[in-house]
Amino acid sequence: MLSLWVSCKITTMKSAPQKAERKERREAIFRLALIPALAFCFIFSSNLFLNFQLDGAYPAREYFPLDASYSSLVYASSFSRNARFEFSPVGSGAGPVSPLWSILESPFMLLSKKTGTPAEVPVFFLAPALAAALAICVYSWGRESFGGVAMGGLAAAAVTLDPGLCYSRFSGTEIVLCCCLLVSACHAWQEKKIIAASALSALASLTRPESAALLLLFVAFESRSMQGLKRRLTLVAPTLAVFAAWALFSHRAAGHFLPPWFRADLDPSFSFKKIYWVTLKTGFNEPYLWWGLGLIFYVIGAAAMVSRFKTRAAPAIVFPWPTWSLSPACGRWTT
Amino acid sequence: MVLIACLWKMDDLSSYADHMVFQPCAPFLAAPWAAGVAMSLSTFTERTNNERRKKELAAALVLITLVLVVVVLYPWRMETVRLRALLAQDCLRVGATRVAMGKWIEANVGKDDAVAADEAGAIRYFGKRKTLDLSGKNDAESLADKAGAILKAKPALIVTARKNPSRVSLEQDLWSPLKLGPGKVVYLKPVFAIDLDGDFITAYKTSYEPPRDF
Repeated sequence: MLSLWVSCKITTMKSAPQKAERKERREAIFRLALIPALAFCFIFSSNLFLNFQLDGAYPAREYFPLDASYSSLVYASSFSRNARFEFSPVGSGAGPVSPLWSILESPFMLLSKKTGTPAEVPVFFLAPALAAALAICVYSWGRESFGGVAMGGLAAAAVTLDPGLCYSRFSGTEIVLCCCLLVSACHAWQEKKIIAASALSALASLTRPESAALLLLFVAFESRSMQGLKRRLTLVAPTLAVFAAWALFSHRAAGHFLPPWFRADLDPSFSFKKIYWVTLKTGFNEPYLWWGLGLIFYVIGAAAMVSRFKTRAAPAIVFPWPTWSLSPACGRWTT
Repeated sequence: MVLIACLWKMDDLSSYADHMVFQPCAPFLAAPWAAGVAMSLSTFTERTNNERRKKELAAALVLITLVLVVVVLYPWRMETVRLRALLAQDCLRVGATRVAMGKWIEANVGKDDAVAADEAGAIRYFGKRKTLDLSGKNDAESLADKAGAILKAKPALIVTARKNPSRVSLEQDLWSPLKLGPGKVVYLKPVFAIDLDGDFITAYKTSYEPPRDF
């Protein structure tokens, strides 16, 4: 009934010329208001997180909140020096948790050497810059997927104000980059730009390996024709190459096809049931889904996507649910 | 759903690790949610609808939308307040313990000496010394055999984090043996310690032979 209402709404909006004209006018107003509105959301949320005073200081302006952020800086420094991922001359190798993130950080290490400023200063601005890019990616994808500037704008605002993503913006980790790549890959696949979707998926997998779940969904929902088979191969080839190269690097550096950080995270007391519920609760603790209340809007939005893109909308809708619950199985819960 | 929310007691999700698992899914849940809100509210702006029943339906939808948006705004504020405090706490914890220890190492440890630490990122980055990561995340040898990796690298300093500050006393200035295996002992003497509300991080000088003052 809900999807019927959504599709009726879309078709009536399309059929009536007067309504279309009004919609165009309204969208022009929304478009004008969008840039200052999104800029406000970005500055407002950044200000909330950066200007939190604790013990007379503003720690979020000075340090990263995770030790892992500094580990990736160490790898970035090594990569900028000799194009190798080396943590330390003692011990055996391992490789970074997110190779693409360390590669992105590496030019800042060279810059810091030349200018004499600490490298963590320019790196500090990298994730917020990517968060602004994420808002643009989400807007562009939302406008196409949900059929309106307002829908895209509100989606971008929701992602910009998301408290968890605001934390990530200042954490010095790869999360915002991963979100950018996943949303762009999804958008490209919806638009049938297979090569772009394939390249972006490979880059997302190089950022966080569990991103490959989205690629699997692209493959599953690709058409079953001969051309579809070709497209499937084009989709998976770069990601397979990335994983093969990663496994070979791990084997050469650490003597195992799986990287040490992955094996170190595999807790022997792992309880899938426990982890599943913890992550499920974390998700439902997100404000927009707050204990299922937001699901009503989510279903309306998802129905709008399906009515516009049919099966091409499926990966974006299906992706969060297994990834949300299964990614702890990739050893990500103790990062 | 409200009933489930009441019955299902909210856990204290104090760690960001839980959120890191969820983050890449967030745009895919937030975007349809936002579009759903916008679509529901757009009913309000369509005024060419003259049929009374449709108008009533539109009004009801707008009302429900507004109520739900208001209901969602409260947890949004709560979660923002919680996570920004958590960000500041985490930054302070890392800055006052790991970063400070790294800077101390840079100033006090010989350039050719190696250091071993159980969370080695900031210590390696700021300490600028050869560093053995005892957690195994950045070192395959430590993951396979921690004791063997220590004996092979022979670090001049071992940095450990403990939750019990009473167990370490810098004033006593005593060596204590740490058994790494049959016949394998390393002697440790605390030389520097940082205490941040129970997060006690200590640097131990090492000796691989029994020290004279042991």
